Amino acid sequence: MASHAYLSGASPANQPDAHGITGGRARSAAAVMAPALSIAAMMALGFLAVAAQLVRLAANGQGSLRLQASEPIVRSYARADIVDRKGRLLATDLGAHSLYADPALVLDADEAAEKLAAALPGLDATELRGLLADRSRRFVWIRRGLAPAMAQRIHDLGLPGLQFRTEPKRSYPQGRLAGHILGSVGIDNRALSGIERHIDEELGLESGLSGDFERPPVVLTIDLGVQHGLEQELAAGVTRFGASGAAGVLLDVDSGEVLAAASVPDVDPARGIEALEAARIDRLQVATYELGSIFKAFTVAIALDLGIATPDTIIDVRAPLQVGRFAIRDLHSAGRPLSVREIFIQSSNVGAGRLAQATGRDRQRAYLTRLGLTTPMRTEVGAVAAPRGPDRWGEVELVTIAYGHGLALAPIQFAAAAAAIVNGGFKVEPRFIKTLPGVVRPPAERTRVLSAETSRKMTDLMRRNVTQSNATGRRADVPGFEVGGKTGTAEMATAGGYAKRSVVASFLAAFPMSAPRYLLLVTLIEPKPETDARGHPDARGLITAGVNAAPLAAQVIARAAPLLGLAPR
Amino acid sequence: MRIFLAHAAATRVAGSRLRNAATGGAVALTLVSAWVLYTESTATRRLESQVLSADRQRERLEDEIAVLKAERAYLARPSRIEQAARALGMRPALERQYVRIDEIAADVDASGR
Repeated sequence: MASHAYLSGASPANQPDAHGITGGRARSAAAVMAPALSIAAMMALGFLAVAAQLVRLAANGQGSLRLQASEPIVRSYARADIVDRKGRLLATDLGAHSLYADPALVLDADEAAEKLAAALPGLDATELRGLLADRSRRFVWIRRGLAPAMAQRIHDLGLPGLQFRTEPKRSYPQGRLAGHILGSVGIDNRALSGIERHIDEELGLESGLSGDFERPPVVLTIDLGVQHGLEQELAAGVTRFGASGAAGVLLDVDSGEVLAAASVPDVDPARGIEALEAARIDRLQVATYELGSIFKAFTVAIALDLGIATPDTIIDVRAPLQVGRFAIRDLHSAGRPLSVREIFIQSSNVGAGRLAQATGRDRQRAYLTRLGLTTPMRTEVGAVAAPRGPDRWGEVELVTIAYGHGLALAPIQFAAAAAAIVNGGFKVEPRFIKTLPGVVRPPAERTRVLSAETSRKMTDLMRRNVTQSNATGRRADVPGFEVGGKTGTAEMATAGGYAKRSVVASFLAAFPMSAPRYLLLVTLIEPKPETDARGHPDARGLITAGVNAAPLAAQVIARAAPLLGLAPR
Repeated sequence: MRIFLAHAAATRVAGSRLRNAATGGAVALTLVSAWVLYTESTATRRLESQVLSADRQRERLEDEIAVLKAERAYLARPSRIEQAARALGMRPALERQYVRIDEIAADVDASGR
């Protein structure tokens, strides 16, 4: 357009001046200036564009792009710390060196494989040689989670093509403590079992190495000191009574918070494979047992709750109770009618059977279901072994269940249900996690399953069962802490019957009984008669709960109660 | 004619000055922009370097803190504390070791001290 105007003489420079002469020089000057101005304008526009871009970048803060590109590729997952109810560390992530190779940069695969196999136990040199010789690959993991000293030793080999990457690796500074509760993680820090797995399910997995430092910890309900005391006493009990294993749980009867839970033999959370050994299964959650006479606590509670009997009701227990082709007998018959209180304290099978008959099959089953004893349950540690009840809930089963045979339960399920007996009659669910970051749990609804009056009467019965001189639980007494409880010795079920000298001995305890706050269940699997200092077995050969599980419970309570802030009364 | 020549000369001078000014301005703008770009680029690189350095330092410190936390937990584990306490002759408190505060007050009242 400009050139057209110029050629047509529209420019003022082409107009004749006052002397009639057109401006040739002026035209040439303008002709020179016009392109220069255009170039200057274009450059100015260009610079303005650059300046605008600079301002935009400064304002938008695109620097993170550079940072993201510089982040290392994450190969492992970062996990939240796990602490106990008082903030003491149970599990954390530590940076660990992981060794990998770039086969394209490995000069001598044979030498590298040979030296690495010599330095790293368990490494297959032949397989490694094949991997390192494959030059089409650029990345091969050799060993992850190396200890610093081992990483230094590999580094000192000076082999080309080997590199280290720092990855988060799970560490359990308390060692084996609470191993069954914590569970374990795999090589990539992904959870395999226990609380670790529950955390993954609830919070999801996050790639590690960035922004994980400020992540709040997962707070468990357990108390490290109480947990240690329980584990140590159970292990001592297993040794003292020659048992094949033991399980124990101590929980808050109102909130269901588990203060300590253990199964012996224990497992090392850093070695998850241990949990797969049959001898190391979690006897508290994964195994079910017929728990014997501690079940009478439910039988009596149901009878009291229904108004069928009071603690003073007299029941004739002199003769064996004939049910079908079975005759139910007492271990030591009183030879006289007993009150319900005496039936509980002397642990009369006949008396419990008669109370169950008065209750009836349907009501017994309904109560046990309300208490949560017939349906599968789950805790944050994992699935609890489902109750194994009778295929047919008949007259025989009604009576045998009354004294703890015929319904096999995981001890933790029994303990959770038993809390209702002493907490005023409310059902509780065992909880292992106090705080899960970012997860808000609605307050648990309180479901009444027994009346407050029944609970009060049962509390009194349980206390008497420890304080009376002829009571089965007298060895569980801990001066000052008002222990109450119930013993239970059940013959172990075998194929087609029961083993006579192989029992499960349990003690269900609560304390302090003037206002119960804690419930403890300890179970010894296949205890043997206690031996004296010279290794000779006890002359009476007793393997009942009164002589093993009850004193074991007392030991646990004596250690745990002061740690729980209870002062002797 | 003289007027015309004078006018033409003035126009030429003015055009030349304008051209020189534009060229000078463009050169100055170029130099200033180049300087601004250079300083911005340098500052950005320096900041990125600082951020990366701080990031590495943060990671190193986090690692150190994690190790220290784990070490503290390891050293304070109940089994070790218990062993140390027993070696010092300590044991769990017994019932008779607990005394109510009013009982102490009663003793003080009785003795008068």
